[in-house]
Amino acid sequence: MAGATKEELTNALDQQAVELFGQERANELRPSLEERAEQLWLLHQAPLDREEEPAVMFFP
Amino acid sequence: MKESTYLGAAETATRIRSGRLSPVDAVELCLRRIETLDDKLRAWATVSKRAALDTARALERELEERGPRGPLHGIPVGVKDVYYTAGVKTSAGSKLCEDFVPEYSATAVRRLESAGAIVLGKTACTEFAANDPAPIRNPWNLDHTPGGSSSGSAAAVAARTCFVTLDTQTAGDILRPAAYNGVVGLKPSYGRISRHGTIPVAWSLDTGGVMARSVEDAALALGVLAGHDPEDQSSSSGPVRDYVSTSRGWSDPPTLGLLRRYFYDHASEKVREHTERVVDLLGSAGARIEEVEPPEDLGLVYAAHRTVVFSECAAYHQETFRQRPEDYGPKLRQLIELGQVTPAVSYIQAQRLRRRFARRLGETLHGVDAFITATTPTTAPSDLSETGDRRFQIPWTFAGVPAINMPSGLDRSGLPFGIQLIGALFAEDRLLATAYWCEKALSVDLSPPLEEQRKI
Repeated sequence: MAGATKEELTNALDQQAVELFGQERANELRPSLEERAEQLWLLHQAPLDREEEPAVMFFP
Repeated sequence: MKESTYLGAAETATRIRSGRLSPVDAVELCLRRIETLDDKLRAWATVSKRAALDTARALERELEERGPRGPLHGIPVGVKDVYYTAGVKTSAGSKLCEDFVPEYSATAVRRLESAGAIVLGKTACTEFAANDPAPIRNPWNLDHTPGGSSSGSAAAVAARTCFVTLDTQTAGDILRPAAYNGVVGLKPSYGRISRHGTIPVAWSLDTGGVMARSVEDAALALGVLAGHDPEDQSSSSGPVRDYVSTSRGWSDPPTLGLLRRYFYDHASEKVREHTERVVDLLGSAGARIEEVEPPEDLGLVYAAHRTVVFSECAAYHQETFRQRPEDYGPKLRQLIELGQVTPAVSYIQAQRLRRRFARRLGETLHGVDAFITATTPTTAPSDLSETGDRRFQIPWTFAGVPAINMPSGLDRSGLPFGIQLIGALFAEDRLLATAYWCEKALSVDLSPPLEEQRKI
């Protein structure tokens, strides 16, 4: 995922959407899938320290 | 003397304790306003008229016999319709829950009742506290959105149909409607108020909070609601302060970190100008203003937040959505579908970024009492099909830090502006004290121009 382009991410999400919801619904979702892919692309560009752990329920 | 519904919760509680106002009077005043105003506003999903009056009578006797039960003795409150209320319908604005009557009350609701508050009923919200609006109207202009998801609570407090509401925030669900409706909205630190007995949106983000008419009232309510709950695995065991006393006791002008970058890029010109005026005014009153930079790209933070919300929301609804997809509104349906196609690796990356952002934000907040910036990019938009732009409120929910909206004036069309202050993790005492000081310096007291109000 880290090296994927926005287009590759959009296609991957689109393929998932077709499998889960069918072609017609995937077409309806296309603009929001593109937006989602843009957000994921941004996220995977972020350089994170290898030691950075996820913050699930991380507060005391 | 001010009409009782125009007083705040703290002053009303004082009057009730001293016998100058009875709990029954307070409830009847609020019910009368609901009857007169709520046909238009539709802020209330359920009004428990009989139960509220019965409780008020019992609290009246209790006050005479044993004294006040707690700091909210006799105060009528609303509860967002995602909190479980024993014996009272909890629908979360969804068809899927339209017949759901919980057998027990959420911990936060029980704490309000233990402090003597009277639950008038449930305030309406967007479907499952997500993005499909309910037909709730903004009391400042019925053609403008009240925001969301705690839209009913904001409208109810603004229209003075209750004194305080109990709410939740996952993105900007308290601060944004509070800003659009001209009321105080407080989202404390994640874990400060128990989530036990709430219908979730995204477990790792959902944060309990309140709306009220003043900072003092919000502080009063937080003091009642905060505290560890063994039934909520994310509940904080940190100490709870007397937030009212610490707010009142603070007299030194605060140091405020002004956030222009990102916020001014996305804000309308009138919001930018208004924010500058507010900051000048606070500076003239003695506050020290220092411009600060966001410690992370907030566009990236937004993308990470959406990844977490979509994924967790899709997980919660997975089974029900498979069985009854037709019972979901279009926006929530889309949100769940986008969550279903979001890779697990992206979710984990988002949570890793979240940890880094929270740490960096804490470091940046170290040198100031609070950050200050506009709560929303515009005043309430004239689009009832949306609940407004959440990007100014998301960073603080994502980092888990406390934030508060304060009404700061009206635009030329008579819609409220809001200013937000953001504090360090679990430093609600300092944040509320700063907000209290700023509220006094700004001296803004807003009341919506509802025609029907004149008849009450």
